[in-house]
Formats: sequence, structure tokens, C-alpha cells
Amino acid sequence: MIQILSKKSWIRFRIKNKIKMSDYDQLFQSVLVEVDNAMDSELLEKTRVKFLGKNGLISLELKKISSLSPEEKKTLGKQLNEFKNILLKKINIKKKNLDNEEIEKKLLTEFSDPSMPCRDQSIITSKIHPITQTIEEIVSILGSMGLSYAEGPDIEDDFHNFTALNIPENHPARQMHDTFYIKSDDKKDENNVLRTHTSPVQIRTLLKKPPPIRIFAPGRTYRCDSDVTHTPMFHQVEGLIVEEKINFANLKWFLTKFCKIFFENDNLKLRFRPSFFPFTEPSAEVDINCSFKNGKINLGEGEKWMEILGCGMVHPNVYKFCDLDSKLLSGFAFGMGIERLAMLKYGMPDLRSFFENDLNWLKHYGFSFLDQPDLNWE
Amino acid sequence: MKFSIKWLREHLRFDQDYSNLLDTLNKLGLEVENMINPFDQLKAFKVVEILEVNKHPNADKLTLCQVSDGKKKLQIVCGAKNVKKGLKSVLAPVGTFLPKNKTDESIQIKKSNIRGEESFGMLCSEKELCLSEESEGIIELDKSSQVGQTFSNYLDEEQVIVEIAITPNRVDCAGVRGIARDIAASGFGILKNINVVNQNFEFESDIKIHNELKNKTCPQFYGRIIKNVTNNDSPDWMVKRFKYTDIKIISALVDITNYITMDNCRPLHVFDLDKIKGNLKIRHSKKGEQFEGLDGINYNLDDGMIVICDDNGIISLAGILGGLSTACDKNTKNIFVESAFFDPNSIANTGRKLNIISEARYRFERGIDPLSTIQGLNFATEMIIKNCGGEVGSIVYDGSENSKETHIEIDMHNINQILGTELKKNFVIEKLSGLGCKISLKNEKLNVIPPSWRSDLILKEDLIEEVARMYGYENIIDQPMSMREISKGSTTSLSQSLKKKIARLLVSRNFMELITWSFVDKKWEEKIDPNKKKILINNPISEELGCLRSSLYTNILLAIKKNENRGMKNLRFFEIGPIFYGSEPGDQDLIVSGIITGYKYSKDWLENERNVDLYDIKSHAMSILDYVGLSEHKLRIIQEKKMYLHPKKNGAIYLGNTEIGSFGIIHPSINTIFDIKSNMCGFEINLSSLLKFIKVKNKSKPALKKNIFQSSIRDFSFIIDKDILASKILQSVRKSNKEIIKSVNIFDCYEGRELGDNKKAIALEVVLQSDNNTLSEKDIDKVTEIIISNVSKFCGGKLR
Repeated sequence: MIQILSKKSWIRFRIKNKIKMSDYDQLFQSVLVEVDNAMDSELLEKTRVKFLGKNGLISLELKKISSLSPEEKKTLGKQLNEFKNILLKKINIKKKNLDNEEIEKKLLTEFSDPSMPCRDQSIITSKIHPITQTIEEIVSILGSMGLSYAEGPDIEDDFHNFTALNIPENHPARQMHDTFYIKSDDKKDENNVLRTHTSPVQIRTLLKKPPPIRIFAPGRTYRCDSDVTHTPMFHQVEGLIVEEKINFANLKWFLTKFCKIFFENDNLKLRFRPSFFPFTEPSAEVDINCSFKNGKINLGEGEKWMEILGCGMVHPNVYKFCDLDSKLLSGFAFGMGIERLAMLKYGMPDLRSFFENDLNWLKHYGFSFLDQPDLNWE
Repeated sequence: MKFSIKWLREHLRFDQDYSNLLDTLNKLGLEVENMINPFDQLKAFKVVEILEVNKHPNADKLTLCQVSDGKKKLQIVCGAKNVKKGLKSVLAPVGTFLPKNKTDESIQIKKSNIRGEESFGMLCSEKELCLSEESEGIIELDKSSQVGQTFSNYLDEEQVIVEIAITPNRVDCAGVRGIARDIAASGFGILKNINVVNQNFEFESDIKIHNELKNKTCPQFYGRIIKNVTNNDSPDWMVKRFKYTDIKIISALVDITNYITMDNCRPLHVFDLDKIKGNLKIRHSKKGEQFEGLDGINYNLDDGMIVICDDNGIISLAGILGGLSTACDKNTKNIFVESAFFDPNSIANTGRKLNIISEARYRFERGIDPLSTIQGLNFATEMIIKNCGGEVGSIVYDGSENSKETHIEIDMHNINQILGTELKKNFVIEKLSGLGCKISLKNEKLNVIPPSWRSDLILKEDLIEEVARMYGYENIIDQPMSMREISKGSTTSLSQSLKKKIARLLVSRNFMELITWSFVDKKWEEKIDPNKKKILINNPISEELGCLRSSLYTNILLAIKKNENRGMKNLRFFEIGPIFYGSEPGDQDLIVSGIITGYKYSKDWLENERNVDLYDIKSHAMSILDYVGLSEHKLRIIQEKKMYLHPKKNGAIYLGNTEIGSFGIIHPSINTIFDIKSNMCGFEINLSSLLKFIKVKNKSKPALKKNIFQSSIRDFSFIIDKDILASKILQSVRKSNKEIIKSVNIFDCYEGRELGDNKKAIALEVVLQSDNNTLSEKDIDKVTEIIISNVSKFCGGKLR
């Protein structure tokens, strides 16, 4: 076994190992073995200096060559230089390996428990409110169907909320609306109201620009009613399409398409029932089919019907109130309750809980901020 | 509107089953809300006889009954008072389901152990079987009932009840006759003829009618005297019919008028003739006149209400409510029967003003059949004579008689264009005639006169709906329409898309989204900010919801309080919604507001626990403004006094001279007022104001400027008065050389006694870089000097 040698004992090294001056092979072998045996990067560095340092054995040997004959110079020089390169490469590789080993060794002394919890509040447990999500779903679909966004104020006057929608003052339909009235600043005869439906947006839109019109209008609506199935504030989406040749068959097609996309259910059946809204004629209420199993509602199967929206062909009086010629126009309108649609689609059992702002309810029924609705008609 | 099948069969002959009937009603727009069919629901229920009644050993109010179901003896625990030996009643055997009301879950009868005694089923009351709304004790069946038979054998169709919703336009269906008529018109069953005989009178009715309103709001007023009646109890069939349809039984005379109201949609009124003084006058009331109604309430009348008077004054509020002074009672001998037509608008107005809800008002204000007046009077006469006896007087009348017919012109093109159908003329004529319309052909057009009972048919669109109803909405085939190209940009408005994005941004920062009422308690609004205008609701649900909100804080605070009471901590809530500053349409702003409470990190094993602070809430507010392109140096943030914020720990955010938002520590007095324990920070941003400053961005981005020249960093520390805002220092630094100073960043702020009272040290890192060359030491020194002199000049700061 070759011993580790002191730096300046080249001759002794040679004698001891019986290496002739000209016989490098053996010398090279023992050098390589010594590199191999370096146990850590410190020893390796020492070894490198010993052979390749300024006064290292190989370096010294290379200097000596200059005093030799050209022939010897050529052969020995070549051998030495080749060996030097091999040695350098070997040391580099050895160094990398040793470094890696040392890092590994050090890492093993460290420890972080991966099962310890994340930093507080770094996981997003907060949610988008189901009403916001449902509105965005509806907006996404209706937008893709070519309707654009319209809006109106929460406080409305009598004209937009009732009169122009063909609901004159003593009409029984007004009683069905349970209207909230706003105390006015100046003593006017008529009080403004909190809009009882999103339909006044129809009027605002028709007054603003002439048809063709295709709009939807989501928003807050208010009725003076509070029990298990009514809250004094709720949300609706209004839709209005007024062009030249829109008919009831188009309305049926449009809403059927919409409902199938919204409920993400192609098997959904729709039932159009005659009904009454002062601002549409003919009017219809729309039911979807469903069944109840173990207290759970299943949409698109079964023979039971669940009411989801109201619609109809725009009443000629509405055009008249908006200074439009009903002979030249035809169109349809629809309105639906957001909470009801959300309850049916996502299974919330109770209307009132939408507005109770209970953290557990919101976490359970809310939506991740990444769940951006992308429902599309095509 | 509730009616029994047996009642319907008096007007309609049909042999289809019930489900077909319900289907037809729905298709006609007479929406079925409920059906109670005890035949179906009570098939498994049995007639039993109670053999033995013993006290329950462990419960005073319960009895142990031994009953026979014809095959075996069963022990039943029963709580009813009327159990007795020998009584025949109805048993819900183990395994049966009780019929359910609209909303309830159905309950299954199980073998049970009640206070230590076994019970094999339940003895039922009518209420439990949904046979009536109220009932006392278990059902008592006739002695002749056969033990062991199914109970449904003892039911009749009077107990099969259909409840339908009637839309405001279809008052003609607020009578069973009208419903039958509509069903028959659709081709389901055959409408029966009912002959009402014009009674011969036995004497001249000795009463005069002076109808002042015959050319105004009371075009028809008929009546007659009937003498020597006995106002006894109504016949059994009517009692039973009323019971299952929730009409109150009062006395034969009143019940008969109620019956004709429900049967024929023809409200009538019967006066006790002996209580009427002199003759009758129909006139408009004057403001301040008093009237005592049958309900015992004294009404204060307004101008222009239709009233019927005798020589003493008002005896009836026409078409709405009879008067107490002339009401019939058990001793009534002679009567005056009224049958009239009142103007719907006037009735609606009066009913609304006095807030009286009655069956008569409901019908009159929707417009009943003006031609039903005489027929109704005859019908009433016939029923009174039959049930109460008496002698018939002549008909007295004062009216204008000429009710106008509506003519509607329509052509086939109208119908098919609106419906998207290809209906034939013959079909339309047949269906409209079936509904009672009179039709004549004028060139290619149909001239249609709707029947007198359909005052809702005025326009051609009304007729088109009738045609569609008769054809069946389900038979109109869906027709695709062109989805017109609309540029994507206009699908949502800027405010809508901003609202959507801010909501998602805040949720990504772990804020929970709330949606709260637009109204709040005025009490809270006053506390939050007494200076803001309060918009009140005239008729709120309750005082707590009586005022439109002027900020979102109140409702968020209430949500915090509620969740805190449930043990929730470290809350982060936000809402995006309207606030109101006036009572006119459009006096509202869209606001986003959020509140965080408690600790930033709570019981965190890595981080030190600390309260949320001004800079936490500022980060949240700034994240929104930064998204819309308003980074902090474009804004002015100053301190302002706000009632609800800490006076020294708040910021008001200005864009130019417009305040677009604010943030701060919520004032501790708010904690006290709302009884909230946690510390809180809040922000609000007025999106409506903000929107005015946001420009729609050009989609294409400007080229990225690469600066190849080396940048240099210089750190400064200035000692400065405590109340000098950092923004001022930053501004002073920035304007030292706008080209070269690329960023200024505060990395430390220190207050210590050695600096002196009211002093602080602010440490800044300034990044310097030129776009044109590498800065020399000389360049840098020059800027450094200006920075130091500017901070000194504008802020009084000294280099530390």
C-alpha cells in the first residue's frame, strides 16, 4: 500500500517505490491511488497541492523536463502533460463527489416536520358568495348568447317600476309586489320605491336607445315580505330582447337553451305554463322537471315540476310608454330569481341563510376565487 | 282558490282521472298549488272500533285503547279527549304514511313505545288526515260504519280538494263556474247548463233606490225585498262544502251570498230590511265620514268612496264590506238583497286606502261579469226561498244599463307571427268561440267580441294568449333565433367587470364575501356617522331594517358581532354593494368595504402573534387600487378625522381632489357600540368615484425598456418630526431628480428617546440609474446632495 508522502520527498518516494526516473507509469498509478484515497475535501485539496501545486511533484517534474534532450522532452513532456490533465479531471470529479457527500451528510443532521401546519391564514379558506357566483354564471351564459349588460338604480320612481310596465296605480298586481316606499326629502305626492323587480331596467333601456336591444340586468330587488320563503331583499336577473321578428317559439327555444346550460343538464325538460305579468302578453311561467329522493331534489329527471322563472312577449303598452311603435317591434322578456336558481342548482335548503352571513355556511356553500364561471352556449 | 271535485262536477261533466284534470288546469294557466286526495292518501287507513278504554299507567293525558280492526285486537295509545268505548274511528296502521301538507315531510307511523306502553298505530283526527284545517279529537264515524273496511270508502269527492292560484287577470276563475267554463273550453269535459228561474214576485218591493253614481262608478244596482224568511243554519251539504274549502259558516242568508260569490264569482249583499231606515241612496263618501263594518271596525272614509246609505247614513261600503247596523242575524225576518256592479278602479282604491281584504273586494276590483247582476239576484232568491222560505218581492233597479262591448280586430298573420306557429283560421275561430267570444269576419280579419266575464281581453295580444292557451304552450315548437354578433367588450360594463375582479382579488387575500341587506337600523347609522344623510323607508319590515345604508360598515360589523358570538375569531369580511345618499333614482354609489379583526397570526407556531394593524388593512386597500393602475405614488394619502376611525391611525386616499377611499383602525367606541371584543381595521373604496378615473386600457403593451446601465443604491437615514407623513418625504426625494431616481423605498422607521421627543428616524433606500449612461460618482453625489437638501427644505429632516 502506498503511503501518503510529504511534499518534499519525491526522491524518497521514488526510491521507496522503486520508481525509475523514466518510468512514469508506476508514479502515475500511485498518485491516482492517493487521490482515490482522499477521504474528505480537505485531504483532497492537500493531495492536489502536493502534486499540482506550485511546488507540487508533477509541476516540479514538468520544470525538470526543460533540461532534457529534445527527444526526451518530447516523449516525457507529452506523458506528463497528459497525466496532468487526467489528474485534474479526476480531482475535480472527486471534489464534486466529496462536496455532494458532505452536503448530504449535513442535510441529514437537519429536520423540518412536513406534517407541521402551514402559516396561519396562508391557505385561502374564504369564498365567493353563492349569489355572486350564480350571477356570474348567468352573465357568462347570456353574454355568450349575445346579450349585453345593463343596469338600473335600486331606488326607482313609480313610472319605471310600475306605470311604464303597464301596472297602473290601482292594479291588483301592485298589491302582489309588497312595495317598500322611500321617504322623500321634499313633500312630493309620489314616493319613490325600492325596485320590486329588475324589470324597470327594461324601461330604462328602451328609453335610452332604440331597438334592436339584447340585454340582461342582474341586481338587488326588494319586497316588503319576510318569512321562510321570502326575504325583504333578493336578487333577480332580467332579460330583454326586442327586435323585429321575435316570436314566442324563439322565447321557448332561448330559455330552454339557457336552462340546460345553466343547470348543466341536457336532459332537463321545461314546461311553459300560461301566467300573467302586466308587462308581457302572452305570459308564461317556466317549470323544470325534477324528482325528490330522500329529501334531495334531482333536476332533469322525474315528473314533478319546479317553477324557476317568468317570461313573455313584451306587452304593446310597454312600447307605448317608451314612445316606440309596437307595430314594428316584437320581443320577449324574462326574469328569474337568483337565490332560487342557486338553491336548485347547488342544493341550499334555506333562502334566509343567504343573508345571515354565517361563516360556516359561507365556507360550505361559497366558491373558490379560482372557479370563474365559463358556461357558454356553444 | 279552493274547490272540491264534487263542487266542480256540478258545473262540469267529465270522466278523465284527477291527474288529467290537474294537468289541464296547469296548461290553462290555472296553476295547481295543491291537491288533497284522501282516496289516494288514505287507502291503507282502516275503520276500527274502540273496544276498551283504560288510563295510561304513566301519563295522565293519555289513554290505552284496545281497538278491533275486524281481524285482530290492537293496543293503541291515544291522547284525544273524545275516545270512548264503542266509538268507531280511523286507524293509521303501522307502516302507513300520514298525508302531508304542502311543506311538511310525510311521517310514517311506526310501532312505538309511549311512556312504557306499546302502541300499534294511531287513531286519527281530521286535521292529521288533512281533511280539515282544524279539528278536535279523533274522527267519529257513523255507527253503521263497517269495522275493517278501508276508510276511503267513507269519503266522498267533497273531500277531494284542489287549490289553484289565480292570476290577477283571471277573476272569472274566482268562481267554480268560471273554472269549469275554462276547462270545458279547452276540450276537457262538458260544461253543464244551469237554469236559474226568474222568480215571480209576490209583492212590490217597497223601497226606493236613488243611485247618484249610475253614470259613474255604479252603473248597475239591483235589489229586491224578501219577507218572512227564517235565518236558520245552512244545509248540511253546504256546511260540509264550506268546511273543506275554509269558508266560515255564519248563517243561512250570509252563507248563501258567500256561496254564490265562490260558485259564480258574483258577490251579493243581504241587508236586514227592518234595520234599514227609509230608502237607499248610492253616493260617494265625503272625507271624514264614519262607517262601522261587519268586522266591528270603525272606518274613517275619504272622499269618493262608493257607499250605500239609508236615511240614517252609511250602511254599506259598496263592493267591499257590509255594515254592522244592517247586518242579518238569527232574528232577521225581512231582507233586502243587493246585486250590483261597481267600478273596479274605485273599489281597488277604497280597499287599498282602508286596507280591507274581502272576497267581494277581490272580485270587484278585478272586474266581475257585468251581466251577472240579475242572474246573481235570481240565483240568490232561489236559494233563499229554498233554504229560508219567505215571500219574493219585485226587483228594484237604478242604473244606466249600457255596458260597452269590446271589439278587437285581429288577423291570422298577427297570431302566427307572435306565436311562431302556423295555425289555421278555423282553429282560432273554434277556440275563441269556445271561450265565449263572438266572432265575425271582416275581409280577412276577425272581429272578436270577448265574453262579458272576460274584461281582461282588450288587445289583440290578449286574444293571442287565449289562442296559445287553447292550442297549448307545449305544442308551440321551439324555434332557434340568430345569435347576433355582439362585440365581446360590451357584454359586461366596466363597473360590473371591476366588481367581479375585486371580489375575486379580495377572496384570494382570504376575505370572505358577504351579501347583506341594503337597509340597516337608523340607530346604527347614526352611530357610525351622524353627519351623513339618512334615507328612510316609509314602511319597513321592522325598525332594524328601516334606513337605507350610507356605508357598508354597519352590516359588516353586525356580521362580525354575530360570528364573534359564535366563537369565530380573526375574521376578514368584505362586501361590494350600493350605498345611498339621496332618495332619488341614481342617488347611490358602488362601494367595496372590508373589515379584518383580531390577530394577523394567531397561535401560529412560526410567527409571533400580533394584532392586525393599519398597514395590514392598507395593503388590502392598495391591492385593489394597484390593480386598477393606481400605485401609491399616484395617490395622496393623508390623515383625516372620521367618526368611526382611530383619529391618529387612519388614512384618507385622494386622487386629485376626490376622496376615493379610506382605511384605518376602527375607533374603539364602535367596538363598544356594537359590543365587539376584537380589535378591528377597515377600509372602504368608492368604486363609483374610482370608475371616473379608470381608462379602458389599450390591450397592446408598450415595449419593455431595458436599461443596460448599472444602477446604484444609496441608503439615507433622516431624523424628522414625528407627524411628517412619509409620503411627503418620499415626494421630496422623488422630485430631487425624476429621471435618475428609479425607486425610493422606506426600509426602517425608528422612534427612540435619543432622537428627541416627537422625532423619528426614517431610513430610505434610493435606487439611482440613468437611461443614457453609467452614473459616475460625481453624478451620484450631486443627486445625493439635492435629496438631502430637499428633505431638509420640505420636511425639516436632517441626515442622521
